[in-house]
Amino acid sequence: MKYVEDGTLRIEWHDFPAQGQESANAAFAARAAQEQDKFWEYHELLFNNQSSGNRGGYSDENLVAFAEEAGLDAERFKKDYTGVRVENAVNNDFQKAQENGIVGTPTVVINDQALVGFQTVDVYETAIENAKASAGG
Amino acid sequence: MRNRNSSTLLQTALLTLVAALVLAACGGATGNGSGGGSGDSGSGGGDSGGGDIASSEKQEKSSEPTKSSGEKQEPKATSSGSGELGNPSLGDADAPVVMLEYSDFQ
Repeated sequence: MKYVEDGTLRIEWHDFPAQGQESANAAFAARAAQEQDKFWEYHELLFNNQSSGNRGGYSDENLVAFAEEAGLDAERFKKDYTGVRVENAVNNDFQKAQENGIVGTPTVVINDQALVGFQTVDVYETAIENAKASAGG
Repeated sequence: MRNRNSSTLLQTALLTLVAALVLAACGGATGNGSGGGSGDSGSGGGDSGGGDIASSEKQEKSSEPTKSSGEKQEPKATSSGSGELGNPSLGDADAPVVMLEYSDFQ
């Protein structure tokens, strides 16, 4: 994304696994990938193989298979996936988001502006440009 | 003779014990004094409280979304072993615009 590349924008991921157990499992798995510095690669794999409705798309087996596909150390991944560090990261994120008034996904907050629900690229770009101008950039 | 020796030994032992206690006390104070900084100790952020993520009924809180923006720190997607795992991020840490993405993989 051009705004990231030119130093205008930093994107920060916050977990909001509101759709049930497989949402949570996918979030844990992505954070386990983060432990090996491959969060974004894993994130992309999850979205490319997106699952919904808790029907097994994000089963443990599939999540491990994605890890292998992303080139992660599978044994370490399995350990981190079930570890307390990853669990705390996701749970704390989810809790803090709710405390901050987030009620659903996707929600994007650009500096002080919240965009709730799916938006067009134009909407995001305008918000980024406005935020940049307000920040004096 | 034997008694005298014993009492001398006892006195020596007591003196040694007192000296050791004094030294220990001095050593402890010195350690604390120079420690100073207390170095963040994991910052906590405390709360935790479990938050069972499997249940979506927890969402009813709300008010208008946001107001979280700028105050998040050290959003590195790194794995430092112990302590809290920060939020994954992309882009310059000093970027003027910060986009917080609250999302779910499903």
